[in-house]
Amino acid sequence: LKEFIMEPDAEMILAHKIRTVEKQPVSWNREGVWETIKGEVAPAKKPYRMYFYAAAVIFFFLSVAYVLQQRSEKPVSEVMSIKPKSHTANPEILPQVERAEESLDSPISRATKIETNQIVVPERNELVIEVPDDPQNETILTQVLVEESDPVQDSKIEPIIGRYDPLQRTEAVTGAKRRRQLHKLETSEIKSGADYKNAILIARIK
Amino acid sequence: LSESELVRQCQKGNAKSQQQLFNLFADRFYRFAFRYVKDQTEAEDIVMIAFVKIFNNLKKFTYHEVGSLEAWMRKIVINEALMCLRKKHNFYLTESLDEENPTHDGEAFQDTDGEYLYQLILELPDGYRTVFNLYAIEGYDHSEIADLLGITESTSRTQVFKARQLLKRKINLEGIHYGT
Repeated sequence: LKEFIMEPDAEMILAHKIRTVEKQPVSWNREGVWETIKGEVAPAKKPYRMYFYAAAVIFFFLSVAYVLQQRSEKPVSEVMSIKPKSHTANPEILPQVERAEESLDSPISRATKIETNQIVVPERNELVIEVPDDPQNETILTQVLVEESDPVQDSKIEPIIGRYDPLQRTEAVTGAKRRRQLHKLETSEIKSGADYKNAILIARIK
Repeated sequence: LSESELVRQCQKGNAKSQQQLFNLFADRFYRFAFRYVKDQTEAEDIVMIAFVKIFNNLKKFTYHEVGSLEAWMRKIVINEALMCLRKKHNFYLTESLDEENPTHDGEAFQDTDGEYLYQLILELPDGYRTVFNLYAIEGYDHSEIADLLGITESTSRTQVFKARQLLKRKINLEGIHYGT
């Protein structure tokens, strides 16, 4: 029993003495070790700063690019009014649709032929005539417009007489919807579903 | 700064507080590591690696009371010291004796100077010294030592017993020497 009791006492005395000794200052390469520790611990913070700087630079360039893009971009309606192109030789349908239809028989599947439509639809050689509200001028204008040098189409020329609304002008000239927009003209002579390849539009401005 | 405030500052990454913490514990941890590895360069490496781990893991530490910080740091230093020892010493091959009833002599330790005891412990063979340090000074039990060193509990007991016997013999010899 005596031995059993003495064991923890002896260990406690020994531990206490050793720990007291170890608390006393000793000469060793403390400064050198600290310099190494400082170098090892500090780099852990650097990458985080680098990430922040990199993110800030990327964000800055993206914002600059976005602003420049916004400045260079113009509204579609503005572009359409600025660029009056002549495409008399082209058919009525959009160029993309035409190409897709031409290559239906090719070995390439149709799915690969899907293309994005152009934003600006080329305008045809349009002619908008402003006619004063006088029915006598209609005959004169028709004679002036048809000249001998103009290419003659085989199909019959059908005049469409009605009233033209300037607010619908931009819509009336946009390709695929054109025929439907013609129905908006207030006229009794327009034929639903008719093919107006050679139509002369004579309309009074509202 | 109080110990808790020092911990808080170090957790924020304050370099001055980190240096203050290092200065506070570096000497004792150096001597502590030296008691295990008995080599100045290795002890310095242990202190260095241990403090890097301490600073990197200090955010996980929760301060409870006075002494809890040192106890937590001591465990890190012990682990580093044992890793260093494992590289050059196979504790599994340490000889194991049959179980004996160890005899203790508390008075022998009580009358001996601390610095002298420290030197005597350093003179013990690696296996004895490591197990004795862990058991008698750090307060680990034999099952914990067995897990740490990959040995059996019986081996751990034997190592402690033999270390004590050696220390006692050295103290007695010195007593005779000083007495004559």
